[in-house]
Amino acid sequence: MSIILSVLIFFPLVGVLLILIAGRKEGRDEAIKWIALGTSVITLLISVAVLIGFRNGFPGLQMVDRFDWIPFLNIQYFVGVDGISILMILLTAFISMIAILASWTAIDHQIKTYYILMLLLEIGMMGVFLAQDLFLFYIFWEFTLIPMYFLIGMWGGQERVYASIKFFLYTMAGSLLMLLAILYMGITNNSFSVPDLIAGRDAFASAQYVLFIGFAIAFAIKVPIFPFHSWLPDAHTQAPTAGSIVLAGVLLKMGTYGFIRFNLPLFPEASFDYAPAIAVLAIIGIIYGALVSFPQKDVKKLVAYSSISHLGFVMLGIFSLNAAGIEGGILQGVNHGLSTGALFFLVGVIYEQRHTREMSEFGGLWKVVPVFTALSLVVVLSSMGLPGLNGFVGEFSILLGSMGAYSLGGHPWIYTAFATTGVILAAVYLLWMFQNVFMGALKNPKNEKLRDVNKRELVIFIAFLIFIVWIGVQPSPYFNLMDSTVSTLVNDISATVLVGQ
Amino acid sequence: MTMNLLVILPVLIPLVGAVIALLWRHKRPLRDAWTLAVMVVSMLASFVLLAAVWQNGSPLVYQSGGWPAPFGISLVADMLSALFVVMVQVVMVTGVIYALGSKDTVVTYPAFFTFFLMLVTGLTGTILTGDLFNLYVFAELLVISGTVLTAVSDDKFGTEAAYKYFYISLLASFFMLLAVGTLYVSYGTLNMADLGAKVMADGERPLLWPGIALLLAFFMVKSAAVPFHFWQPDFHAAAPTPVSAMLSSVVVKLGVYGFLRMTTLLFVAQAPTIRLILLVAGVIGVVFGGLSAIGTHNVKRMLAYSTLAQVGFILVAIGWGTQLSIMTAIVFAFNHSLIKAAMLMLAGYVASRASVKSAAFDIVTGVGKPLPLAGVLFFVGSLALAGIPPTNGFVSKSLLFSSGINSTFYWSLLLIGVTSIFTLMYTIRAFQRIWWLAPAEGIYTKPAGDNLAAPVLLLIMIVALGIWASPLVTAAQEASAWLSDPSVYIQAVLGG
Repeated sequence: MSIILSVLIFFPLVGVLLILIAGRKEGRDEAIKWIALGTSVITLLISVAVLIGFRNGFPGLQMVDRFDWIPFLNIQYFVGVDGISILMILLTAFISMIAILASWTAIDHQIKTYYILMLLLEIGMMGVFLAQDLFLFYIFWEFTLIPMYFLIGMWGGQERVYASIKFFLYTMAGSLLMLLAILYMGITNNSFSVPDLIAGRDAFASAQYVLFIGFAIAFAIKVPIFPFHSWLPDAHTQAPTAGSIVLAGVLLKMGTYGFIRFNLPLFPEASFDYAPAIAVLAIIGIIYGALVSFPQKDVKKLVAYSSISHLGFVMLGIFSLNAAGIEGGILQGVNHGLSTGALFFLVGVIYEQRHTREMSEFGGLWKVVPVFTALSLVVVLSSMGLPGLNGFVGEFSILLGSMGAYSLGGHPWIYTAFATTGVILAAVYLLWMFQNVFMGALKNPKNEKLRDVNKRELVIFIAFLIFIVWIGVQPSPYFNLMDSTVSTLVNDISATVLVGQ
Repeated sequence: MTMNLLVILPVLIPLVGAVIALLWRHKRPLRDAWTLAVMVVSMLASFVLLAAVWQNGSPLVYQSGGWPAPFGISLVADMLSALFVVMVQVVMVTGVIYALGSKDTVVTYPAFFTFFLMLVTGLTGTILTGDLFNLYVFAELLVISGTVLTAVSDDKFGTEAAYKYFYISLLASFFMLLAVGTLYVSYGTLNMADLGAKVMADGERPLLWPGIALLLAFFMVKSAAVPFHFWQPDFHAAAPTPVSAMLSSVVVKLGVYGFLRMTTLLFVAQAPTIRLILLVAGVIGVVFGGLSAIGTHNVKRMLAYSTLAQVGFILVAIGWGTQLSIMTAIVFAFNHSLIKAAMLMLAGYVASRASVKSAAFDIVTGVGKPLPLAGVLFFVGSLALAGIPPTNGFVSKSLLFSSGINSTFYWSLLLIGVTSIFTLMYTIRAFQRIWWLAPAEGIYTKPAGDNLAAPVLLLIMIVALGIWASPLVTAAQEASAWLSDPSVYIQAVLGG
């Protein structure tokens, strides 16, 4: 028993209360921002404390906090961390802090409500990654939607009202079937606790193909996997910068995390049998996302579509069902959070000054803002997977995993071959974007007055770059965190599937 | 015997209150305070009744005039009726609070609160009576007060809606009288316990099935279920806010109550057929109500169609017919009453703040911008209606899905599971229109309007019952357990 995870989840509530107190008088906007930032920094420190206390060689759940919550329905409050979620909570704490810092000047109205929603969102995301009771997980899962809905709907762009309802409805519709699946398993096993359900999965083995789909649709919409992606470009383009950072950085990872945490261990045979189909969708996503990114005129939309492509890699890795693939998938989730988060941030920096994101409005910025250009170049290179930076490590591991995937039939290299084209295409659209925005001659006189990065922006960029480089050159500590949990999961799946055959 | 007197209090208090309110009809502050006091006392009495019934472990029966059943008229409170009475009275108290803070001219009519209390009497009486003819009488009282309260509405369609309601209620009364006649001819009794026992002993009488069909039709009109739903949106949308909030929340639950009694007491052996009809009607209601609510141009109408869908969910739960699903129906009915009353009050509140008093989307769009509190309330209410945590609606939805998984009718579970997203579609769309979009030309928000106290109270209950659901769920579980054995009710009334 340890309460540190509960503290980690609910600590932002302290910030919410302080903001409510501070916000009772007008004109305390600065104080509110500092409270929000301070809260998110402390939350990050708590998550680091969790990391320090984390035991690497132990496959099961650690730092568990568990008690009966609704005994009548066998629902528990049950949180714990393992190798699958440890990186996710660090990512959540990091991205939340960055997002708050990135909102500093961009958000200029209803500041109190905005930062309260940001902190509530952090609670929801932490809860999703730490909940080990399906019912609790579902409550956190739904809860994350509400702050995000308001962030898009109240601080978004022109089409925010449309984008926010689309986001809300899409994700809600997806989670309905998941709720049915959760209740079904809870009823057959008299428990909603994930470890109990995994131990008792024989009780619903006959229904696992249906249950798998119930979960998979919810997660596929969240990821999003082609063809469930249509909400994403709208949500991203309309969301405020910080909203996009959180959306790309963390919320999409809730989907991929869900596959690893629930679909694989609860329905191993179904995961194995559906793996080729999901891999095909993943590859369609990789190529489709890349092809659609290329002609975008709006830089933010380009980044949004590139997410579909990148998340395709993650899905391919997960459904390779081997250690290299799954670990690569998790790490690539983190990488995508960092690189795409940074990309959205750099778009936000330009947008704040020029109020446009049209690529044709820019060109030759390197002459005006050299530091910003240099930083952006690293971010772009990281996103396209240049060796030595984080993106390469994840993609390489995924491709390696898919190459040797027993789940993908006799010729898994075909999947790998198609996926690899995505790496090339990423280089094409990202460099094209970089060239159009930063290189060449300075054509548009409006850009002459752009300022270079200020201190706050520099801090954010450096924070991103530290991890982008660190994961790129020294990824083994990250893999070590996941190793024992993931290999236990992989062994469990292969043992079950082999028995079946 | 003193305990048994408790049964009559929730009927008697509002009835006496109504008469006195009529005497004081021109003394406005006194009349208002009196009405509120009567309702609060009556509500407390109903809580006491619930506690007493629960404590007693079997139904409490009051035999009027001292005649033993089945010759006298009995009032019976088992867990189901006690719980429904609590539901009715809690919502009705908030209705009075809303009416007292309302700017409508209708609440200044001298007899407004008299009819309001009559409505309460009619509802409570219908739920507590143990006799079919008596049920008919109380239901008529309800119709008369409902008609009057709508006819005097500020809305120009009020009179038309009241006529419509009156005629459709005449039709219902016609069904009911025929049902009473056929059942009496067949079994020689109208006492519900006695009738239940006699039907169980002999289910072959030729007029039994026509009787069932007519009674079913009566309750279907009362709950505005498919195929007797067509009058309801007109009626509920045109009635004054405090009245429509009652009609669309607790008054439609009368039908729900009737279905529960029919399938668990009166016609136990015939229940599977009745349940199948309810299941089909429910599913159609869910789909049709949801789609219609999406297509409406008026917030109140939207919420009225939403009632059709939400009652549909309840009918489906009754239709599944397991002990769990009957518990679900009770919880769902209770929660929906709170939610729908709150939502209609909020719609009425927004309309009262619009420069042109109307709940049409054209008018109320953008009116909510200066009203953040109402916005928060409406949004949380929307979550509750759509069954999203941390509200009581989520409890209802989880239980509904659970009981569906337990039943064998997977087709209906899948249908209502998928269509339950409709709820979110229409409520969120309404929320965005009222609070986010820009108002139309010439529309502005008035500085004052109705009072928000009543919806605030309801929303507090909605969230509280979402986080701390066990009291209601346990009570409903108990009620459902009692219903699973009709002899409990029969013995309590007929005395062994």
